[in-house]
Amino acid sequence: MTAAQGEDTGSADTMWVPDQALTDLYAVSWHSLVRLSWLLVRDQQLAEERVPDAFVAMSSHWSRQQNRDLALAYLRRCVVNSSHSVLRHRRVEGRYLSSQTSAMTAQGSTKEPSAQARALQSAGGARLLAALGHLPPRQWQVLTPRYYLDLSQSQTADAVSISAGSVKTHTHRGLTALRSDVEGTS
Amino acid sequence: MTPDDLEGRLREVLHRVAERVTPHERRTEILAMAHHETAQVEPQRRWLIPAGAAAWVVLLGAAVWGVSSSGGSQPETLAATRAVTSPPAAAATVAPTARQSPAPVPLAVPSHHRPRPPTPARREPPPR
Repeated sequence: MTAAQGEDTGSADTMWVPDQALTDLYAVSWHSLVRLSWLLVRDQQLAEERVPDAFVAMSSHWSRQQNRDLALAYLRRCVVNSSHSVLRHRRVEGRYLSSQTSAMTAQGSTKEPSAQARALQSAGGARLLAALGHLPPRQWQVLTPRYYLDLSQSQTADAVSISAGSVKTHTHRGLTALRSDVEGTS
Repeated sequence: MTPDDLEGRLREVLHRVAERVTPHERRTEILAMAHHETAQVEPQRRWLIPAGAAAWVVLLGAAVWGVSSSGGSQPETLAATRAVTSPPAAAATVAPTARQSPAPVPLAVPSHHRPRPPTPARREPPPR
């Protein structure tokens, strides 16, 4: 079952009892949301810390999420936003570290690849994933939820909190860059 | 590579890589956190209703006080109007309610409030 299939189950008009709804949403979306967050931040612990926060934030706004579709959209938005802030923090941290001594930078570059990085390489499609990582952040952040969760343009726009037109632009540019990167290296 | 090929391959790679991540079960923890969050939010909402009611009462009182203190001339006109339009016996009972007007003096009576003289009964035209 794909992540999108998992998320699309259930009608929008089911009875909305907070605990039951939270349990249902957890069952339907927990795995796919953690995996989405992992695809964005590439760190399982961070991903598993961020997604519960999204569930808690949603539970404190029950009045606004009166059906499952709205709640799922809210969860996706929270997860993508919090993953973005992790990435932003990481970039700032990276800039700070790179401005420090060159010895520290050199140490960082010779670090052993993590278990997750090795898993990525062994999973196949490493070249495509590496090319994805070379894209500008916004293109990468648009392509990942869109193709992992099989979202439409408007759903992606909602998740990334940008306009549908921007999603279209970033998707087009991102795919073009990916294609030239993959074909150039092959 | 066509755009469709690339999209399909990207989708497939993302799924395949993501499947390798096995999230830990945290349902009970999330439910507990959600309950804790709700319990923290509830007391704030409990204060909201009485505070809103009190604010409403204060606003209403201020409005009533403002109207009664600034609208001093209004009862005079009202009393005068009533004095003109009602018979003298009724005017005597109405006048004391106006606090600042000792006697109902019809000073500013609009022309359309003046009682019209009784019109004579309409006569039928003489038969031809």
